[in-house]
Amino acid sequence: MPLLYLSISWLTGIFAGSIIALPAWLLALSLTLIVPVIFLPRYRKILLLSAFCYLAVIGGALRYQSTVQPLDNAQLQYYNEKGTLQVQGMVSGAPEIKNSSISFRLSADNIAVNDAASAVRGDVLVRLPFYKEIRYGDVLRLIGELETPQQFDDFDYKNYLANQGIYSIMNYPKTVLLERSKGFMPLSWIYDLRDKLAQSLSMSMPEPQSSLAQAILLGLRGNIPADLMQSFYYTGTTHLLAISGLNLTIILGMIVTAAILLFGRKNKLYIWLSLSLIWLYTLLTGMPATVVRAAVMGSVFLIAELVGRQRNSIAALALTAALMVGIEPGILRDTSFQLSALSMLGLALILPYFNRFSSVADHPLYSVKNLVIIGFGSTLAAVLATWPVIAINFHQFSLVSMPATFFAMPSFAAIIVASILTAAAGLIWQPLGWLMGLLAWLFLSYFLLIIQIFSALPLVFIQNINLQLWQVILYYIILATIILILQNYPRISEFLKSSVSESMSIFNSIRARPLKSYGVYILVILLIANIFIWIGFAGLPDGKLHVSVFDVGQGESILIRTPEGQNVLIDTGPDPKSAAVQLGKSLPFWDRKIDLLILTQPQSDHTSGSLQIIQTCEVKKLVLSPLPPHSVFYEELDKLVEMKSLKTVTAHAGQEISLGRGGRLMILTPPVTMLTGTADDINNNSLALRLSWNSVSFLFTSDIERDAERYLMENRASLRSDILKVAHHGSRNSTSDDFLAIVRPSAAVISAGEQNRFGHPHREVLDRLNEWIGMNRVFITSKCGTVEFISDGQKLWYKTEKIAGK
Amino acid sequence: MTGRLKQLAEIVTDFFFPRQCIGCGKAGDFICDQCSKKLPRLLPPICQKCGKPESSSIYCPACWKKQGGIDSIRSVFIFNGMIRTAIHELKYYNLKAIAACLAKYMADYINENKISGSIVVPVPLHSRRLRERGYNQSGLLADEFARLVDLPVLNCLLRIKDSQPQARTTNVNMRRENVKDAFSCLNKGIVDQQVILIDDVCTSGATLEACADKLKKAGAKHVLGFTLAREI
Repeated sequence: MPLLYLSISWLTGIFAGSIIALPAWLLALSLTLIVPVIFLPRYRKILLLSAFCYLAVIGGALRYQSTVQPLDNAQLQYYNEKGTLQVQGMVSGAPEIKNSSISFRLSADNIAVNDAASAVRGDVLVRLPFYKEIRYGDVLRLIGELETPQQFDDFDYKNYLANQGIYSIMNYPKTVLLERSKGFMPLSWIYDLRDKLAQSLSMSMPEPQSSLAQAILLGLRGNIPADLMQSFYYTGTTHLLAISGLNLTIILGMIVTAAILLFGRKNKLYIWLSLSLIWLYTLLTGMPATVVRAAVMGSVFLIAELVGRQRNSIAALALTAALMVGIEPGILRDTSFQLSALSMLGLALILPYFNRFSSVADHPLYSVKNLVIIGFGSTLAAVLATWPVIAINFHQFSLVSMPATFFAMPSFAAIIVASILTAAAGLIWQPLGWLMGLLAWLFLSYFLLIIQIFSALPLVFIQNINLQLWQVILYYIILATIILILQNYPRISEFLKSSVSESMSIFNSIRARPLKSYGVYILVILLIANIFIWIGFAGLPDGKLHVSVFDVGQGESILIRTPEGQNVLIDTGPDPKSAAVQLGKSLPFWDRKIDLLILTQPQSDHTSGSLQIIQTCEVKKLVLSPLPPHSVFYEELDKLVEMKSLKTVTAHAGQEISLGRGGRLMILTPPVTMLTGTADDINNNSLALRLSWNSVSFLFTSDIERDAERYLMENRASLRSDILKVAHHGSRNSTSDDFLAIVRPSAAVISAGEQNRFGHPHREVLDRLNEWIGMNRVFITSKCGTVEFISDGQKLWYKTEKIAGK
Repeated sequence: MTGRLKQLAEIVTDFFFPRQCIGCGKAGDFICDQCSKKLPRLLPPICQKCGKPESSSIYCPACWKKQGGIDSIRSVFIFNGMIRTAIHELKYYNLKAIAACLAKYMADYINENKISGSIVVPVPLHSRRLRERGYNQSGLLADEFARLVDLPVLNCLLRIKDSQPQARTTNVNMRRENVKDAFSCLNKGIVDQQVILIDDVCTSGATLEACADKLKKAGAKHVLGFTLAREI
């Protein structure tokens, strides 16, 4: 197959070019192979092929060298570590939100060092606080320092960015927005659509399911909570989170099936439609190498369908790799591209062995058996083909990667289908989005469950693997030899036949007959409905009061769920996601309303999640402290409040909120004329609240310090409470002995992050609490996780997420 | 000129979508020389009428009694092994390009056995199934075959009843019933013609006979059912 040989030669050439520089005159040497053709017509074919292969090798090497440019002052990289300067350019990629920052790619065209401006070329990765509104096509002036990307111990970040053509980064520069929408218009529409779909998903589902759906469907991984991400690492299933060939193949299969149903196959409209849709989707995902790889291969298969030819996975993969590497030679060293290509190669070469065990699907049970075989075969094939590359790049390997993938896989197609429907439905009409969201939520929850079960297993994660390059190469040589022997030994024909026609099983499944009995479908629907009814019942208001102090790291967020099922959220945690994730865990999946959102003070450890929550939950009313706005963040909050026409109230001491059935929420601080001259006026003027219902009471003291405590003690009598939310994450400037003597709590909760840089909670506070209530009644979120108190108005129970002391 | 362009297009297509033997996987053609020798040919002695293997080499017992519309049926292969795979690839896996390769065997058979005809007619597909599949595999075979033996193709048959696929029926009577009145013939240029009726597979012959009935009624002089494969 000339295509295969030429592609491999081309790839070899590019690889060789990245190591040694070859002179162009070597091209002429190919003549030594072409000239003999005249004299040796018998060997014409082989000689011509060798000549072209030779040309491809040298051409590849030259192609690589053409991308290497000398470093001069016309390149952005030249200005790395040269101090503060001004860079001007356009946002050339879709911005990505990750934890509490937004990062994007800026194509610079102008640079000014000490007011001397000059033209410049190059891309910089810029990081800004998450609430900055940056869009593709914005023209910005950045004032900051250009840095060379850092090298991490376990991750070659510098190389990772270099493979994407980025050699400089800029962290938290000052920005000036010069112009908007200067980008390529269709691309900005696509990115807008992506944002809208992401928004629709997060409105339609609770966290973390919605973040997961955004990652799987749209490639937006930044929103996934850190501890969940850890579980994915631990189980070696991060490949399921990245949009991979698998996602695209499933989507392609859906599109093709739908297009055939709609338009039939008589005219070729279905092929053209599918082609344009998968490329639209590829653009939508931001064109990561894995998706482009799958899209090119999918296109090759679709064109094979058009011209009525065989779909040869290996030839298609070789062509795809040659094309992609030819366009962007750096990609050859990109790990995700390597993994994507290798797993495809594994599927094409190893999966056919498993296909032999599957039987004709004339009975539902056989279909299940075939699915199991194919699922097992494809995961094994992918793992066998990729694990050394994972191990040598990340120095770690998860033993449960395969079983976890195998069990998670069945839900995968359902997740993609249901997420697409949810996102689309949410765009049309939100209630429809909620309805579809239920389905997606169910499959996503199954997926999460699998990941969590496997990540809970001990001793499955091998770290600090030190694999040498020669060992990896040896492994692949051995693997290739085994495959070759298997191919040539027992009945070559059997094997290759299946590799030709069955490696693209998605195309075959299109023609699979539907199950004859509708009974199976009805049974499945009933089963799903049953699950929903049970989960729904479990989340109905139970007539009790629930107070959950969320584990949001170093920050604060507390949910009060009243006996009638009203939700009051006090503060929103230190980052955009964690409070939303906790809400998703605490509230039933159908409940997405917050009747009252209280921001006790404007500092970021209390307010960072508010934008997200106002955007995605149905917030009825917002209560703010009278403290003056603290940062640019508040401008964004104001904009959002206006857009949603959200009712806002500024609170001060003396106000009272009725929560129904006699429940009351009293505002204790700050007084109408705020406290001044205290040790910290912001902390001391934050909103302290007291919740009481029948004979139980809670005191939420936000971040108040000694001065505000003294004010409270001087002015009020009703401080006594059963549960005390300890002020200011357990800082030693709060929670004085006098104060504790008046409150006399029977239990206390401290909201603090693990090993936070403030040393919260402070030893002295713990000592004081120990003296007044005893250590076994003091809950710290960093140790216990989320702490939930439940009360019937008389008695109190508590539940902690983790067993304390661990 | 168009011929040259077509050739060039073929070379380019072959480069990007290399042909592989459906039997052994060897690159080159859809059926390689070696596998070609091993194809399950339907060799004489056969019944002179229905074409089934028959030791007497004249008429088989069933054909003695029958006064059917079709004059005779011939098939190149037994529907088995690689030929079964090939027909499945052609019918269900969109491998349209293999039609030319298969039609070559049919043309060779006609030439070797000195069978004559004046016109080629493919067994049609119902419009609904045509929409589902995108093409008529018998039509593809007929076109390529006609090109090789230099005869005109006439698409004069129509499938008017969307009967269930013959492959899902169980016995001969059911099959006959299934295709009864399933076809109609447009009376154009068929009068006094020697028709070669092309289909991919013949099982009981019911489909071919139903077609032949209509062709005869429309004035055809002689109808030969000619299929690539025969289910025995």
